Amino acid sequence: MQRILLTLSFFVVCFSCFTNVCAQIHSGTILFERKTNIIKKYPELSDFVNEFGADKTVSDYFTLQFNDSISFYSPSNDIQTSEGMFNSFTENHSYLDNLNHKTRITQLDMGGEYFLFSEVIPKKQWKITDSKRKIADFKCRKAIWQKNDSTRIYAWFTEEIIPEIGPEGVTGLPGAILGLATENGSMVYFAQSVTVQPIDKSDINFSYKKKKVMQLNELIQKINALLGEKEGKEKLEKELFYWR
Amino acid sequence: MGRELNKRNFFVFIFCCFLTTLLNAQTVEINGVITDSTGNKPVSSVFIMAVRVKDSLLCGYDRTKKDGAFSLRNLPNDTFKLTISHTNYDEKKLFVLTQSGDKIIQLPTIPLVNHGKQLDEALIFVNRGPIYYKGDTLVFVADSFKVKENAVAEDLLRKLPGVKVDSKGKITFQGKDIDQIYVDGDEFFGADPTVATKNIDADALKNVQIYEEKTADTDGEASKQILNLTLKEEAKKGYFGKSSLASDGKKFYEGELLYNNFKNNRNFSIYGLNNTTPRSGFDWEDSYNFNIDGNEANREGFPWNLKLGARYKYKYGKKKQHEFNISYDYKKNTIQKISKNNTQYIFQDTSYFNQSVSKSKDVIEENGLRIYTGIKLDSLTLLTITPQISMQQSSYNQEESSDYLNNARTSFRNSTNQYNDQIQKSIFNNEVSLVKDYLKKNRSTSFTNTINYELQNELGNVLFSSKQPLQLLSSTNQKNGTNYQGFSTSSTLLHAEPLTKKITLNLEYFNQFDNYQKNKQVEDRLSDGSYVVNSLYTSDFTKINQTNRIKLSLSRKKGFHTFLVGTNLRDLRVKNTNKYTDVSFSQHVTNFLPYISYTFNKKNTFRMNVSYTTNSSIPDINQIQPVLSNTNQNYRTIGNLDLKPNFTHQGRVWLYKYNSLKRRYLSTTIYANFVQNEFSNSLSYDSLGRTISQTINVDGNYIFGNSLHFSIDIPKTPLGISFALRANASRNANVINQKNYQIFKETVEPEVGISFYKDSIHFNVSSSIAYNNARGGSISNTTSTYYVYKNQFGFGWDIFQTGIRFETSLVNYKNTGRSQGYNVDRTIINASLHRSFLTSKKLIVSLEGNDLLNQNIQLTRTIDYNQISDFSNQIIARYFLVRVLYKLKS
Repeated sequence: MQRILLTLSFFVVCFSCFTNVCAQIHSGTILFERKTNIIKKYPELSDFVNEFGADKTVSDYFTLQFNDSISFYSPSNDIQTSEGMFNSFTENHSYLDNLNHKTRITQLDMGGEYFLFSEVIPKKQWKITDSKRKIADFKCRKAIWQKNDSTRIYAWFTEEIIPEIGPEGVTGLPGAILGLATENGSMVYFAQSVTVQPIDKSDINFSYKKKKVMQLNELIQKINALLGEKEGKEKLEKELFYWR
Repeated sequence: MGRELNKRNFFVFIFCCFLTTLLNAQTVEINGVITDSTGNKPVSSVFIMAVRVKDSLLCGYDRTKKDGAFSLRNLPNDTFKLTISHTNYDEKKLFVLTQSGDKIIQLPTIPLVNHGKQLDEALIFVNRGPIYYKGDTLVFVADSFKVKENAVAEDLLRKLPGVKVDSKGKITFQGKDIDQIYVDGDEFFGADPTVATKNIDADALKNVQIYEEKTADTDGEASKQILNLTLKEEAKKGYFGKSSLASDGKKFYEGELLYNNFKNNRNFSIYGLNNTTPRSGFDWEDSYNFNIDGNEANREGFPWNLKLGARYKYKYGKKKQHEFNISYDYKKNTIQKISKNNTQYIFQDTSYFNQSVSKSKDVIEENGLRIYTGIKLDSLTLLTITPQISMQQSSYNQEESSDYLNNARTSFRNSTNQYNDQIQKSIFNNEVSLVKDYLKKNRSTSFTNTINYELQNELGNVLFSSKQPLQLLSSTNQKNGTNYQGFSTSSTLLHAEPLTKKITLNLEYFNQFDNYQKNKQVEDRLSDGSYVVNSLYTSDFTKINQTNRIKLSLSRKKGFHTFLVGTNLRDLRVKNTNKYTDVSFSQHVTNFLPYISYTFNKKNTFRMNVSYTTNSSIPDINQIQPVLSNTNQNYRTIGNLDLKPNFTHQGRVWLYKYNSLKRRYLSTTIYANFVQNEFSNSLSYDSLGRTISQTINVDGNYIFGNSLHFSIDIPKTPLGISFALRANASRNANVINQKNYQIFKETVEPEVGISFYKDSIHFNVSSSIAYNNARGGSISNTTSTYYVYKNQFGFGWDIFQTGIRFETSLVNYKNTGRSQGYNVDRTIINASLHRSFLTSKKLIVSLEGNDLLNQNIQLTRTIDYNQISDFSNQIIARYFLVRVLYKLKS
């Protein structure tokens, strides 16, 4: 009897997985791995990295919880950043998006000090290509965002996951972004797994009510005041606002 | 203050309304419904994404609701690729071309196809109608193009992007001629294309398809552009056709009856044509045989035509997948011609003239029976068997008188030649073909076998006399009898094998065996009335040809690019035996003929092809060892046993660019041919001006040229502008009176035109100048530059929806640079008035006037190494017709 039940459960699970893969997905959790090539991201450190013979790639892990109205992207609590001397050279920001109102609260991680600001989710102009690949067992299409004259961002999205979500607050495609990369490969994000499950507001572990949430221009002024205008601008462009 | 505020608010409100309207006018909404493959059941959760074609920008997306409906809003007015996908179906792509002024576009229902069944298809939707590309076939959906009431197929064709129909009904697509028109894949009332386009109602059409069809023969491959009109299922019920009678009460008349009856899966049609006018419904083959084409100014002679025929078509099987059809055609044609010729022969030390007048009468009568059987052995295999038989009788009578004049225009010889013959010919032909497709994409196999058997008997007489002033030089009175029997069989085996997803290997083996026997007996009539065999012209030939050809090619397709490289290896053996003289001659040639081609094809709106091909011909047996002909003793031919095969290098670049949104197209072809050991007819002349020709090999012949067509529709107007340029230059070498000559010829012909088309009115104006020049040879000191100026105007008007239609056309020709008496200018004006009666407008009465100024004449000029010839032919000029036409429709 137990064996029969076990077999039946197995088929039910398989069927539901199969159905989940075929059917459209409205809520769940995506686990992302980010690989950062320190030399490509900070070319000025290449001699330093090579001299120490250190591992130039840093792996970080993030989770993206979502349903049709809300999404939350944050560093994973379960899987830690890879060990290495450069693991502090990468950012761990969090993004809480209200998908209905198209607004966002971003928590910037500046070496352990956190800054929160709110804004309207920035719109991006995406170009769609005919390239396709599979990521985490989902068929994905390739899209390109021309960030500026010299920077191109590649994204692979699947229309099978309905909400417009993605890592690092990169959204605007008709589905979930499961792959994200800079043109030079300095930062590459790939979904490792997608867990289909209902997500409620209470499942999101992000408490910001007691903290000051700034407006965007307030934040920029604060950072410039802390670092100086030149260094502040560089910090914002290369690290804090790289994906905006 | 309050009033000022209210006033300001009012203007702000008005401005916002205006801005909203302006913004809305610049955006468009695309709506549609997605169903499953049956077309009936809506599919929900289908993902649709709109990407702008010019820069791949994502502009919108949606997912279908439970009713299968989707809506893409606030899209800019542009061209989009819609990607439609669902996990249970194959992805579909649809191109939508919006236009300024479009606000909401409602797409037709889009069915999705189950996995693995989607054909290589991209659907294009223009807000005037959808256009399909199915593989290499371009498909226009007829109902989406608005035409006037009672419009015929020709009116619909004028609306299709890239399709042009001239005033004679001749059709081109993107600048290339349509070579054949089918209805539902078959000829319609014979091979005359205008019978279909001028008689089938536009609302009976389902699709208009355009594609290229390849044909193979011993020399290689040719292709023709086909236009196929497919009928709606409801149009295949009941009957339709027309009957008309037109006459001037004297010698010109036209009568025709066409009737087509559909019932379930059977179709029966009959037709009959009888006329004495140039607008006779001649098909292209008739036009070739009688040297008549569709251009009124080039029609020679005075015709009498009778054509009758019947056709029965039947589809059977569970899914009506098999087909049987049988057709019978009868025709009898008579042409009487009168032509004049003035030829100047130029040599280094002298020249002379030949002025001749020729009268001829040609009668041909033919019966033909054709059967077609198509059997689908399974879903991937088709077997077709097509036997045909035709019996023909013809007679030809010609009388030519020639006068030879010296430089002082004094006659030094004249001759008369009377020739007549009667021919009876029977031809039997059968073709069996098996075509097999496979589940694997791009793999296919086909086998075709053709058998042809021909019997011909010919009887003729020749009466020739030649005399100088006061002296008879020679006279001939001969009778001819010829028996010909020919058997030919050929087989072609083709196989295409995909080596990878992108590379395909194509193999072809072709084999042909011919056995011809021709026995010709010529007898001279003696003074006592008896006949004696003339051994000079009598012959008894047997010719056996054996051809084997292997063709191997590799094609690689990557994105928009296709590369093709291949070669033919051909082995040709010919044995010719004259049993009368017991002389035998054999030829054996093996050729290696490489070719290479590159094609760029971007969504079929921009296509380019660059190719290099080679070809080789062996000299004909009549060039090596000719059978002397006694039809005209002013011209004799001798053989050349040293002739070698020629070898032709052909380079070609062609380009088509079509912008469907702006209705603008450009097509150009650049070509260059270079021939080694080209065949040329060397000429020598005796003191009496008689010509003796012998075929020789020459080197260095070439021709290169360009033809360019460009047209654009002026936006938001019914006006269009067109421009064409044809130019070529050539060099040819020859030997005249044992001296080497080369002649260079250039032709340049630009043409501009303006057209205007709306539902009730149209006009077109065009103008061209043809510059022709020849230099070199022994004509270099003679004027050999001549011009042809041509201006055309056409106008048609449906007068205020009264059922009255007025049409007129004018063509003006001006010729310069020809010999005296041949620089004839002429203006051809035609006009007609039509009135329809009955509520259904099925009865039409017309008054037609042709060549109102009575100036029609045909003139041509040819220039060769040492000859300049001007020809004029009498053709039908002014005549009037009163016509009554009744349309038959169920």
